[in-house]
Amino acid sequence: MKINKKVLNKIFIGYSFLGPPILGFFVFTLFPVVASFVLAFMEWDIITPAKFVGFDNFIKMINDQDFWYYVYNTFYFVLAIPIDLAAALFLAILVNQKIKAVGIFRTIYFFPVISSGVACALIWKWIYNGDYGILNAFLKYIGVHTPPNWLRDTTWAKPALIIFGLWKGVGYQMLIYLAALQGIPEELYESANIDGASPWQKFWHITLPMLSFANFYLIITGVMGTFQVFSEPYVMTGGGPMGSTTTVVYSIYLNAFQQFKMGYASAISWFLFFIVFTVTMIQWKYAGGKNYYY
Amino acid sequence: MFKRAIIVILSVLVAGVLFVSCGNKNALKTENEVVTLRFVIGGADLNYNKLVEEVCRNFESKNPNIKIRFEPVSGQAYGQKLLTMFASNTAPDVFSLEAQNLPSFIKRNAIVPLDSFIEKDKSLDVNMYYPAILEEFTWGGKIYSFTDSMSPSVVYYNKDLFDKAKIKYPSGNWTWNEFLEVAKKMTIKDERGIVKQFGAALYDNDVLYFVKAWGGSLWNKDKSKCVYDTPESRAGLQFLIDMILKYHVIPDLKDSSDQGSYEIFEGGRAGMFVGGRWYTVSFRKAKVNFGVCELPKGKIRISPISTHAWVISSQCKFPQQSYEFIKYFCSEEVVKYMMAQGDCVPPIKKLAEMEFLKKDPNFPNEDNTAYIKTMAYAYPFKEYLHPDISWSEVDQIVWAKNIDGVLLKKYDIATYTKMVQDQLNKLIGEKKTQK
Amino acid sequence: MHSKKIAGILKKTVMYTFMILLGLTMIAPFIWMLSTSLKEPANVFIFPPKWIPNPIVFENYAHAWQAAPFGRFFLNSIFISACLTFGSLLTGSMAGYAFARLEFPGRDKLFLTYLGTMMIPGQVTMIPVFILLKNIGWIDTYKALIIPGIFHAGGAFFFRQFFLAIPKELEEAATIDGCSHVGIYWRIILPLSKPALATLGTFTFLGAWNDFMWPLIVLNSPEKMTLPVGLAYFTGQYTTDWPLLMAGSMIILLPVILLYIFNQRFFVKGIVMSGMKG
Repeated sequence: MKINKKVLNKIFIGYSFLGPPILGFFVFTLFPVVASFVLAFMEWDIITPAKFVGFDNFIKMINDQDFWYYVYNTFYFVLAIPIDLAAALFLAILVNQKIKAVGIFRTIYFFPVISSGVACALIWKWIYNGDYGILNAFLKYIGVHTPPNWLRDTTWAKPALIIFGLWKGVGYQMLIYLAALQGIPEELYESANIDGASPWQKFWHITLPMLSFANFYLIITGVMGTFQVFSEPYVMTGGGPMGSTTTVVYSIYLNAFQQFKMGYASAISWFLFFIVFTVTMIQWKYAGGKNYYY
Repeated sequence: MFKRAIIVILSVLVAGVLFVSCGNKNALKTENEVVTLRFVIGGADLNYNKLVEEVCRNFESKNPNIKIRFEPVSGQAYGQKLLTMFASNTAPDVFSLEAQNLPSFIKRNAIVPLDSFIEKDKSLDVNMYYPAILEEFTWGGKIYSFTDSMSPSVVYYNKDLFDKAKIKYPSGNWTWNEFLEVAKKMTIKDERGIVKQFGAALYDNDVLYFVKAWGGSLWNKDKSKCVYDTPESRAGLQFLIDMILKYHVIPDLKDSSDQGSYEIFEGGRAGMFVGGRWYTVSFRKAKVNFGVCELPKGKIRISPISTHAWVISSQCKFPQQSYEFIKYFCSEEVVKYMMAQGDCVPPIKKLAEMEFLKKDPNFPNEDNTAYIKTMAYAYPFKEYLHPDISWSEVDQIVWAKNIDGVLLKKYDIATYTKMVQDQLNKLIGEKKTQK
Repeated sequence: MHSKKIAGILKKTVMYTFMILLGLTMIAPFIWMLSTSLKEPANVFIFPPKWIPNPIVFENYAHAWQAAPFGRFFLNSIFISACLTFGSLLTGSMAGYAFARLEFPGRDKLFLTYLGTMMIPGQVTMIPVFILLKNIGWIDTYKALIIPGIFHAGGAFFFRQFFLAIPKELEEAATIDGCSHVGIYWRIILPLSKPALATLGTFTFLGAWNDFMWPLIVLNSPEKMTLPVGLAYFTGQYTTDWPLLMAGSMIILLPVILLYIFNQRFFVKGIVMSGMKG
């Protein structure tokens, strides 16, 4: 009797805390996702009624060579995430110091995040211009005689976009790391100092583990973000050259809203989901559930 | 058990929302009641929207039983919004549609032909419009729209830059080879060999124009096959590519590291610009001293036109009133009003050949003769469109995916044209089996 | 001693130089936006670009503001963004608390479902949501812009992670004192989460403030539109009015910058057990 009541009580509290949020979640967030899953097995041109086609969309997708190229491109961009996070953490540590004008630095590093995407893309297009951009001017100055025409080079377009993406988004991740760093108790560092720990040891054994929750969040949202955003890179390269910067999401957009193939777009989305979810599960098993207390 | 319940509830919700059409099909109003038409246009800017508002109010004052609810959609997401409205049974009554999307909407019965209304209408003379315009809007023998504005492609030249280089202004009576010569003279390179000023800039990636001007074609007559890979097509494309890669007189068509081509012209970094009249609004603001002349002649003399359609949706409950509105919007009165604002050419022959040629006192240096002369050999965008394949799919193959290989010198034009032809014919085959 | 001092100064100089250079690159587009917003159309794309406009056209701001009912758009944006932010923080922190601290059957599976919904691109869920909203009559209302947004899974995820990092000792003390979960949530966890609230609040507000697509799709009445939709009127089908567009963008940017600066005060260290230090 007693055990039952306790469990029931836990369920009650859990779900009532969660109640309003979860109801809204089911209706407005989960339901459309389920609808898109159903659509993946349909052929729907949006205007006329949908038609059930079973696995046809998935078969077509698997046989499309271009599709696999876009998958490759998408994964390439995912590799940027560790670079992004390392840079963001570095910046967060920099602006976490008690130095002069740190508030100004924190604000300025956030500017790319809030600046007009169009303005940022323009500036970087000029930077990357093969003939008169300052990047190549600098490279030629230090002795690189034939630097690539970045955005018009099938090998270098993706790295160029990665750098741009890093520059544009690092303020966001920096801020989250900053918030997380603020939450690490001073005492931990103090006792480490008493024990004579070096800065590196402090970083490795205190800072990093205490950031594990932020890391999990940033990696997962980073992966999701990479798999979903396409507008900015598209402004810079139009998905080229030769499709080398076209990601799966751009293909989803084209199919859904320009080629009247919403069912096919949904199928691609769910394939994407499958990959991302697997990656997330790996992350989860490895680090997500662990709680780093001290 | 809990889980199963959730799955059942969700499935019911999904089924209910997707397949049950909860339309608001009220009873049709009688003739005497006031009818409100929802009128949606996409991608237009503020100035144009203000003009449209005027037109709507004028229409309302002439038709007290009809109210127009004007809902402009800004930015580049018009397609998404339009399709979302159709999917949810909330489509507008009258809306704007780019010519390239007409076959896709017609194929899915999303828009209504105007023939039945035209037949009953004694006061309309359909032939007051240019033949190319009517052709643009006629599919399967039925006409789906008129228009209030359009423009052929012409050549703009920067008079100041031409004066500086001491080159005569082009007369319009020229060939593409002559164009090339002028462009070469107008191209200025710096000491490193990098182009500082281009001979010309092209507004659009219209490779298909060059194909057609050299005597080639994308489709065969009945559009059952793609016939892109012919010596004529290749010659036209070669000319275009040479202008970029060999003579460096126009910018790389895809080099987005620079801005849009018209901005290069405005910034004084191109001697000429190929485009339509809607750019003059911007040129005027930037105080460019420009002249206008016709496009050069390839093997044949042609000029693409660009226009938009005003169509009635299949979800519209008041098609007769919608027709009245469209007819008014594309009437002489409104076309005169629009053309005075400066950004288009009137689609009505009579107006084009008379009123339009009169000089605007505000812009005495502008001469509109070139636009009218060009209309003699204008052709609609419909040439490139296939009734069964969405333009986006064609565009991806002809332009987005494959032309880069040529521009980046990875393969030659013959490889490109064969690639495009094979891919498009494959698409045609797929659509056939789907039917 | 001497060399140590020099090493210290050198280190500081290098650090400051790096931070300043980096700062310059980050602020460059903003400067370009500002510069363009004060230019005449002819000067926008001359090359090489001139950073200082000549002539300086302050009227661009007045023209931009008057071109469309931006006053109205501004109010709409503030209302929607504020409601969305407040709602998101509330539902997100509640859900996050439940996932981080409460134990109930199906908790982890439910959380994974939350994560799962974040992995489907918006393009394919947009129409189902729209149809749903249409069937409950919310199209062309502010409700449609606020309510679905506050139930996005990202907030719950964020707070869960943040709460997991807070040591349990504080709550254990409170539970012994007889405090309920609601009390813990309200009196202990939330106050400790100021940086998290400020961070997610800033991002949520920013996202809502700059959201162009969803208001465009859901709203029909021009007077209900938000700032980004209004701003898009400066880009026509063929041409863009750059000076006015940039002037408008600067106006839109201002509240975000102010909000960000205002939120900086919540980034203070030493929230946990700082009582020990006295």
